[in-house]
Amino acid sequence: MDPDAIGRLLDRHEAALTLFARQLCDAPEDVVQEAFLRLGDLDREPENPGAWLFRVVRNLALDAAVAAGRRRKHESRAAAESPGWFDPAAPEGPDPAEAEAALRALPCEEREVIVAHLWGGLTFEQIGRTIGASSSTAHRLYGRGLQTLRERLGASCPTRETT
Amino acid sequence: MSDPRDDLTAFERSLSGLAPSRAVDRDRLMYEAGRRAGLREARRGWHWPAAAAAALALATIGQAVALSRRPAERVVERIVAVPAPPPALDPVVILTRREPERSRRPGRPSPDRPAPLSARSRFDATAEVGPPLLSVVYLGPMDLPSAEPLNPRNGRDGDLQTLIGGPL
Repeated sequence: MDPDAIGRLLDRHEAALTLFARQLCDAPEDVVQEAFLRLGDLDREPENPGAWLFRVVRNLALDAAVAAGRRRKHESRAAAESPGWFDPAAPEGPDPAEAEAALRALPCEEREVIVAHLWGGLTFEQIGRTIGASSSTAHRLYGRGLQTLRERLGASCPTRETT
Repeated sequence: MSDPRDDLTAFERSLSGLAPSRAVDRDRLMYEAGRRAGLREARRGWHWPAAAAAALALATIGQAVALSRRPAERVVERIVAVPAPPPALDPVVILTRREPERSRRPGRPSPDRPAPLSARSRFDATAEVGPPLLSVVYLGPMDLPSAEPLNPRNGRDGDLQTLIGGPL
C-alpha cells in the first residue's frame, strides 16, 4: 500500500486502535504496529481500512494475550509502567483516570465494543463482524456497558436508544 | 458515509472527547513499513528466476530418472515372407533382313560393278564379311519356333525363311 495512505490511517486510527488493543492485551503498541505493517503488505487498500484494522488488531491482541500467559510477570510489569489509557491533558469531559478506572471495571466484551464504537467510529454491524457476533449483540453489549459507565462516572445524561 | 459518532448522547460525546494516549512510535512504524516494502519488492524480483530454475531442475531430474529406468533393447526375430521377384524376361531375337544396295540404274550391270548375287550368296557373303546382319531387339515374350538360337550359318534355311517370310 501507499505509504501516504498508511500515514493517513495511522493518524486517524492509531490512538483508538491502541486503546482497543489495551482491552485485550498488555502490549498494545506492538499489536497496533504489526497491524499497520500487515496493512502495508497488502497490494491494495481494503474496502474499509478502519474495520479491517480493528479486526486484525483484535486477532493479534488475542494471540498476544495467549502468548503472554507464559510470561505474565514481565507483561504485568510492563503494563504497570505504561502510560494511562487517556491523554491527561484532555480539555473537557470526565477525568481521564476515573474514566480509565470505570472502563477497566467493565467486562472485556463490553469494553471492546464501547471503545470500537466511541473512539474507533465503527458501526455496530462492523463491530459485530470484528468480534464474531451479530450487530444486535454488539448493540446490546454497548448499551449495557455504557449504562454501567454512566452510573460509575456519576453522569446524569439521559439514556438514548442507539441505532 | 456518516460517522456513527454523530448521533451520540451528551454522555457519549463527553466520553469520546477523551483522547486515547498514543503508544506507537510513528517514525519507527513508517521506517519498518518501508523496509518491509523494499524486502517485498526484492523478493518479488526473484520469483520468476526461481520458478524457472526450479522447473528446469525438475525437468532435468525427471529426464535423468526416465533415462535410468529405460528398459534394455530387445531383439525380436520375425520371419517375414517376401514374394519372389518375377523371372527376368528372355530376350526376343528378331532377325531383320537387310536389303542390298541397288544400282542407280537397275537393269544392266555396269562393267565396274560386280554382277548381282543371288539371295543365298548375298546372305552368306554379308554374314561372313559385312556388317552384322542380325540385330537383337527386346520386345517381350514371344513364341519362338525353337529355343535353339538361330545361326545363319548352320544351314537351317527353313527357320530363317520362316522368320524373314520368304526364301533367302
